Amino acid sequence: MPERNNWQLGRDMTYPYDAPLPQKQVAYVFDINKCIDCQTCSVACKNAWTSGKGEEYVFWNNVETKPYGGYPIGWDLKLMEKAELAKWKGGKLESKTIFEDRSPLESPLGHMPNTMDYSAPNLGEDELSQAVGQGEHFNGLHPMWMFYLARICNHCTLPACVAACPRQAVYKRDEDGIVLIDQERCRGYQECVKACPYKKAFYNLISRTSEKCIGCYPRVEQGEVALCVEACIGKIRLHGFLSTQEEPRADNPLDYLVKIKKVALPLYPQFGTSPNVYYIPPVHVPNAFLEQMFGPSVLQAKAMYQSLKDDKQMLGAMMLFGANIRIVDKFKVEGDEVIGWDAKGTEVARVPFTEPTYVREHYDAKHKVYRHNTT
Amino acid sequence: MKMNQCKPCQASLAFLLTFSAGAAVADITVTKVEGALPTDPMAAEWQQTPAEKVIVMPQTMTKPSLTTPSVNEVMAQALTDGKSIVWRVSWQDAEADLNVDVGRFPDAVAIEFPLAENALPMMGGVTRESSGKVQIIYWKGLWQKDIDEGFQGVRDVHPNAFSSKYWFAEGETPHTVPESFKNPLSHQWFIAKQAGNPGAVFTRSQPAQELVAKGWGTITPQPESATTAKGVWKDGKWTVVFSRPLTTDDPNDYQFKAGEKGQIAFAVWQGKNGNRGALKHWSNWTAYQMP
Repeated sequence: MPERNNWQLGRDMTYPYDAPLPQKQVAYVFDINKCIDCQTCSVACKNAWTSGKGEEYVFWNNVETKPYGGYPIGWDLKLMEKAELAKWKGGKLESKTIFEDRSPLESPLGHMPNTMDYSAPNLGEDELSQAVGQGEHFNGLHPMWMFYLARICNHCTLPACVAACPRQAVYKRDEDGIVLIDQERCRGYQECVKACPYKKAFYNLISRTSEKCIGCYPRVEQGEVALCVEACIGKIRLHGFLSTQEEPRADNPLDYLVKIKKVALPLYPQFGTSPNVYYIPPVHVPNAFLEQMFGPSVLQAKAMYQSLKDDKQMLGAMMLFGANIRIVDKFKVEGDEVIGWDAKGTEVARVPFTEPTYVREHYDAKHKVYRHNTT
Repeated sequence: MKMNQCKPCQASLAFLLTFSAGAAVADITVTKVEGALPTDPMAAEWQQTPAEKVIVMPQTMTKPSLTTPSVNEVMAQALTDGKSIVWRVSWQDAEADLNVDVGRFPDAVAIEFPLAENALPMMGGVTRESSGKVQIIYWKGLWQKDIDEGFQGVRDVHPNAFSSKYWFAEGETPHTVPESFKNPLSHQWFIAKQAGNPGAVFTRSQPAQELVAKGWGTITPQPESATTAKGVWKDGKWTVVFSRPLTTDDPNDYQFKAGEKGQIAFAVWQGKNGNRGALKHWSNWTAYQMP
């Protein structure tokens, strides 16, 4: 079987599908610290792509509350129960990925969700890790915690869905690394549903095919960010491309945050699919939980994020989140502004580090009204 | 994975070829009838037609392999009137599985004929390059249900499901397929249908599909089909008939000849056990004698 380097694991690994790396890799940074679980992303996605009959329970984008939430229910716990406990040593994964220790007659390690696992998209929403004791809310910071995890398809570099499909109906695009299910070719075997560790392939019982997040490829082809990224009112998301064929570019905001500053981390890297949604870990959550979820670099990522106010370059990259619907290919901090350009070199974002302040007169002479803070 | 690099597959294939060379294969006698051919699986004529037992084995040559077989034989019969041929296949199945949902699969059966001399019974061979082409005629319990009881809707598997809005759907909730979705704009969300996927058909005329294959993972539905089929589950047993003309002008159809000794293979999927795709039971080539 082919050996592939997985930089997220610090080592080579076996991957049962022989395909070259794409020219570039679609990738996202999600700042968990800023997500408020408004679900605008989920609605934007669902309205556009999955409002059909048979897609009632399909959420290519969902936001769940950790530690107890998950859609479908227990998607990650069920795989972790089956898999070897993740073991890291010096940034290198020592345990087996879902592709390793498998016979040539076996698909990647996975589990088929129960139909009822899709019945409660918001189970566990807003629930804390433990109950707040009486009077405890007077005592400063709480030890209990929760956070919101916004999830889409990871458009993995080594996708389990691609490896699992027995008829090559799932493919990874060479031009941008987006993973798609060929809706003409799919025969509804659901092997991708079973194999995807993130459970982002869904079965449509009307179309009788499996469907997955299409990475808003018609928009990406026009240089525009995905709908979930555009719709995000908290501006927690950055959408762009990671370099795959050359060294990371310091002026590419994705390369810069993910590969150079390492402030954003992949979700469950130990599964071995090299996922491409990178999360800035929530700073208030215990490290042990985060390390299980984001790997061994959590401490450094947290420290990096907490140093943001002193790092103008990184802060500049962060200010591009939600700044424009165009995908930012290149950025530069100039004076008190960060400037972003698209792949054609057109300026698409210019964001000041400090928003200017305007003081308006109490009386609006034009409209002949007094301004109140209620108008 | 490139199959030609898969040593276990080659080993299994070598084993199979050895097995097939030495196997005592059944002979199915295709019986000539005068008058109309029975296209009902329960027609009285089948009681007088010789039936041959055919062994089916779990698919264990490629992934995903079937580790838990649930059927080990099918009964095969065939009749011809000199113009058409009807194949009847039956197998034991305690329960009829007709519906689909996540993790839920229907029963199915297929018959296969070689379109090339080097075609192996297991979908013609391993790789596209090394295989001979085969024709496969596939019947699925879900499609039989679509025809007998109407297209499987969401409420057939989730009786309490409710959604107030489907874009451009007409009429009252619960909207049903295909009745509420006459406006072509509403089909924008039926992507597989829009892409021309022959599995995503809302008004189906037959519960069977003609396909060709040339190696594993290459199965391809045919745009034209000369086959009619019908399956009936009764008393713990599925009985399915496939009828088609002996000859057609389609190069992807097997052409039956009078007096020939031909080869047929069978595959069975038990939905209850999660069988679908490669998770199936399949047979060796089985000889049949045309009248």
